[in-house]
Amino acid sequence: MEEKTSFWSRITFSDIVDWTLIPILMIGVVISVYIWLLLPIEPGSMEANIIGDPVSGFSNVWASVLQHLKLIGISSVLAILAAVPAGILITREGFRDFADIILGVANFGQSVPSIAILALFMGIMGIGAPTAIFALWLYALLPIVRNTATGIDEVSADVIEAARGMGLTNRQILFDIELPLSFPVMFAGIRTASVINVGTAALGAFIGAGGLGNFIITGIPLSRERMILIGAILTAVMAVMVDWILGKIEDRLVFRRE
Amino acid sequence: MPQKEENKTAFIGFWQGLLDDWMAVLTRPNIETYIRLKERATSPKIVLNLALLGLVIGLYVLTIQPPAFIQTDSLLLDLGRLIFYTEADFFILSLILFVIAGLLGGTGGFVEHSYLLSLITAPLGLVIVAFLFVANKLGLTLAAIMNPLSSIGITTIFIVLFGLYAFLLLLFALEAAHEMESHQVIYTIGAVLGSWGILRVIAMFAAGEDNIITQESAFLAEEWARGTLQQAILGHLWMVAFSVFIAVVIGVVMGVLITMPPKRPSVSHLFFLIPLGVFFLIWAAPKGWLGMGIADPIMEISDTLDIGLTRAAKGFFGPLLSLLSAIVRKPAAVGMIGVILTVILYALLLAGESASELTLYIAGIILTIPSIALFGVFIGPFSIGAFNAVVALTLYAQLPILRNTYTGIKEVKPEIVEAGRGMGMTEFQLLRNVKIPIATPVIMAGVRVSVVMLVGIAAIASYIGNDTLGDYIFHGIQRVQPLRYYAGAITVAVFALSMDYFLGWLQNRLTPEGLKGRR
Amino acid sequence: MIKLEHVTKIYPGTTSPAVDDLSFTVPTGEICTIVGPSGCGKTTTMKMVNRLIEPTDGEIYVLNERGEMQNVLEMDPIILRRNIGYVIQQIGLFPHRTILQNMGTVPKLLEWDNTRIRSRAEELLDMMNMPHEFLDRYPHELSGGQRQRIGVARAMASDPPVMLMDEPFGAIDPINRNLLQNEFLRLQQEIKKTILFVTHDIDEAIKMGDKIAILNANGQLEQYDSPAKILSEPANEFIEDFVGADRTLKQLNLIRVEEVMDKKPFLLQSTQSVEEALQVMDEEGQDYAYVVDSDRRLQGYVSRKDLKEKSGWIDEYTTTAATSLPITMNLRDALSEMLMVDYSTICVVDNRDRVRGTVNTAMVQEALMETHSSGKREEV
Repeated sequence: MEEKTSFWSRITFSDIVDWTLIPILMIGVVISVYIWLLLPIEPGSMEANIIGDPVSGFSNVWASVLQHLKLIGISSVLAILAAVPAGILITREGFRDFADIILGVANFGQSVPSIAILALFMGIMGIGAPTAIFALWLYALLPIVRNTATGIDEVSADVIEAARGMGLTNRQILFDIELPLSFPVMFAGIRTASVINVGTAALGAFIGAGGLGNFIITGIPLSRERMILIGAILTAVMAVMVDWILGKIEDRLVFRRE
Repeated sequence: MPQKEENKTAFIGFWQGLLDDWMAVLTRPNIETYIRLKERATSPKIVLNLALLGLVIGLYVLTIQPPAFIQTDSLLLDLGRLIFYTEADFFILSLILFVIAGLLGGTGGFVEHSYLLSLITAPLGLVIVAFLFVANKLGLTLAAIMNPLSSIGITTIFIVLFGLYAFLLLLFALEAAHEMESHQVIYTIGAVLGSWGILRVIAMFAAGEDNIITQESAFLAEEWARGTLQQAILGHLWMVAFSVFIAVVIGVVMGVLITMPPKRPSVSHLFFLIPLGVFFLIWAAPKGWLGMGIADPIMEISDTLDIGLTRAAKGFFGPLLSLLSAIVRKPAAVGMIGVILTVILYALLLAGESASELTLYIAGIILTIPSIALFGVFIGPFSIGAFNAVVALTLYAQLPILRNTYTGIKEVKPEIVEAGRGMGMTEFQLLRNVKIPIATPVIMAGVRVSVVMLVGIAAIASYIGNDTLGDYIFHGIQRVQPLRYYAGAITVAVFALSMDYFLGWLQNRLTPEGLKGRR
Repeated sequence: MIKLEHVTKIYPGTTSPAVDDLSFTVPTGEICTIVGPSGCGKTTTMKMVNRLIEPTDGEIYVLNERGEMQNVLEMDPIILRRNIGYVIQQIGLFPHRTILQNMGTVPKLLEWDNTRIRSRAEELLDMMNMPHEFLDRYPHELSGGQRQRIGVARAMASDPPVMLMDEPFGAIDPINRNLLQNEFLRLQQEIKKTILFVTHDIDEAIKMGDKIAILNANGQLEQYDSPAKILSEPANEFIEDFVGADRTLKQLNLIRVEEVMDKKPFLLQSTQSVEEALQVMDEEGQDYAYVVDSDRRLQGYVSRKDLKEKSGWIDEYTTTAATSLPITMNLRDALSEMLMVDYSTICVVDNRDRVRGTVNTAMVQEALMETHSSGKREEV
């Protein structure tokens, strides 16, 4: 009971602004898109065929949002599943020597622009969502591997020595000391990777992966500004929101650590 | 009788030992385990390990996917064949690794070496085959497993992880078997992979047929001969260079402003604000008495230069001039951006350090907006073409530069600044002689990030009507010409990597000598 | 000369002053140390002189090269700072510049030409006993003590009459600090700058200061006087506490061995014969005697026990002395040296190792009694 009151009393005005400003802004943007861009679409026009109209509903927009989320969701989760163990592994004794080489190769890969990666894998795996997901997955690996390894490396040697001195096994040190302490850094990598993925997923439309990028890349050759704006603004909103949500989670993690 | 009993225990002991070794490898993967297992290496164990694997693979292949090259005249014969193939494949690979490891200073014997390798191959191979078998029995084809979108797509990731695990075990095994340094292990495996790659390429050429490499290089040569490739490269280069140039100026100025103490607005500021405002107004006025009066001659000059030089100098400066003329052709937009920029810079000048947090926050948010979305949004005010691309590219590029300039200057130790100030340096001298030189490596790191990022975004800018290397990618995708989009992807990647390398070198060159020796 | 008149500093957002109504004058060519508990405003006081911090109230005057007292508050702070040397604890050498460029900072601002800057830098390195090769090195290639010397040299580059030093030796290990302090005092003998020297260490304040200003935690001046006066006549309980219970012992810091030593000590020549030596030692009633050569250089000592029933020259029986004291050493260091070795009497030598006198614990005690009683007498 006492803790509850203290929790509420700790909330200040700036906290409230901090927690609500971006979501309210973004909801405002989405509502504006609905009112000024979606509602005026005339049923039966070309735009109505692709986007939908107020009479038949905007299921296409909704489906694109979901497809976009699916692309980034699956690729990010798979990237975390693969990259976090890999990041832990290259900080283990005996693998440490390989860390530089592995990170160097990954860094090299990261310099290759995303559109080039998408095009290369399209040649190998064909068009469609799986190719896009594979490319996104590959592209998200490096930030997570690198941050996991850095986070664990940054845990001070004194702490680990103290833990070892108290008789913790290597496994206990990893799970009780190194991972909790390196979590914020690791999470920052996950955040970076996810936000990059939102943008790269929009490019996925070029290779037929669907998503919000579809509206943009269909709109540009057809010179349908409305269509471009819907795709562009919603993608931007999604990027900002993903960044914001993950940022808030990251803040909580850092806070708890203190 | 006792003889037989002894044989029996020896037989059981042999199997138990083998199983123990497997378990040791799977549960305690580290150097010590391998060094211990090295002692227990015998030839029969290797053969047996591989025979088991071959048997299981054989059973899997024969029951589920009988390949064409097996003549199913007798199941046992086929099984025997598969076991033999497995053994032979393994020993050939093991021998190659052994020879290369020996050349690189490995000391282990072939039996030890092979035994440790077989200890990886056999159990992991069995696990993967079991995986595939179960998946198959569940009614999933290989294609379905490989599809990450299918509900069982995670299986793929497990198999990839197993592959990674096996690779790391291989590193350990080689290290233990030959008592090598880890870099020697890497070289050994690198040599095997490298020679495999070279052999593949040689085989491709030896076949005497067209292959992807000859086709691609022929395509690139053809494009080069027609001059379109050079045009795309130059278009790409100039677009990146021009945007980065503007971005460096604006980004560094903004980054510096948000490290300075706040300033009061004063009347003297009007002496540069008013002329600047008037200039932008005159420039932007679409039909004013000076508007086209200024814009027209510049346009004419750039048009004549454009044509003249494009023909004369084979178009080296062509893309730059068309960029410039695209900018001059939009006086209203330039005026608008100029006014906005002036307002922002002046606001930052007044606010100074107190605006740093907000500025960096906004910069961070803008950086999260996907490039294709930004191009799309800018189509409204700027339509498609070079102007739109340059604005978007500049906006992106200045954000890392702004952030790094700020961080670099903030990281200058306070005592160094105090010493400078205490010796009577003005704020400007302090900035020019102390803060910026010390922050140069950090600023350059920001420029490097920007440039590498822009190379990718400039490719995307092709979609809104710019001649960059992205043309190859987009046209290739539209026309379903793999050679074309491979060409785009490869050139863009090479471009980005070489820019990264070049800027890394430049960063090192620009770092003041005295800062290099420090950690 | 630096003159502070009713200087007060109140930081924005606080009500109590950081420095409260401070007035004192540092005479030309002297070092004034400002000392006090942490947060007493000693650094603030110093930074107000070159206006890195603007005073809320009061006046500060500095004597310029033309011999005029100038109100610093009426000067352009940039010009002012270029004419005041400034040394801080963290040194603040510019890492991206060579030692020459570092030392040339202020001269460059004053638009000296390059040859003049270089020759001045070489001159300063000579002063600091450092080789000229250092000019082209970078700060990170130097040790902490060397960097500190460069920091001091940099502050003196344009030969400003006034210098401000903020705990200049604070970040250096005790052995090197002692060395640097002594070196700086020797240098000050030559350059005669007017120096405001901030420290938190009362021992350093006593050692370095011609005058000491002690501030209390509220930024008020508790006492401004010479070190001897502060030790012998603390103005109030605060000073007494601050200086410490061992203030009598601290007074030893202020007395040099030269002042208390026996200037005509009993010495033997190494060329004397054993018989002769024994006879002299009998006459003087000494069991031990120091032996010097013809140039009065210390050879060692002989004891009566060693010489007894021997013959020949005494240098055959001379034992090397374990220690000797330089003539400029202060009594406190001398005393600790004496307590370490088992000698009743120790030789005092000059910088060419010639014996100038001897000193023993009785003499130290006597000197102490004297300062104490003189202090007492003045109190009455």
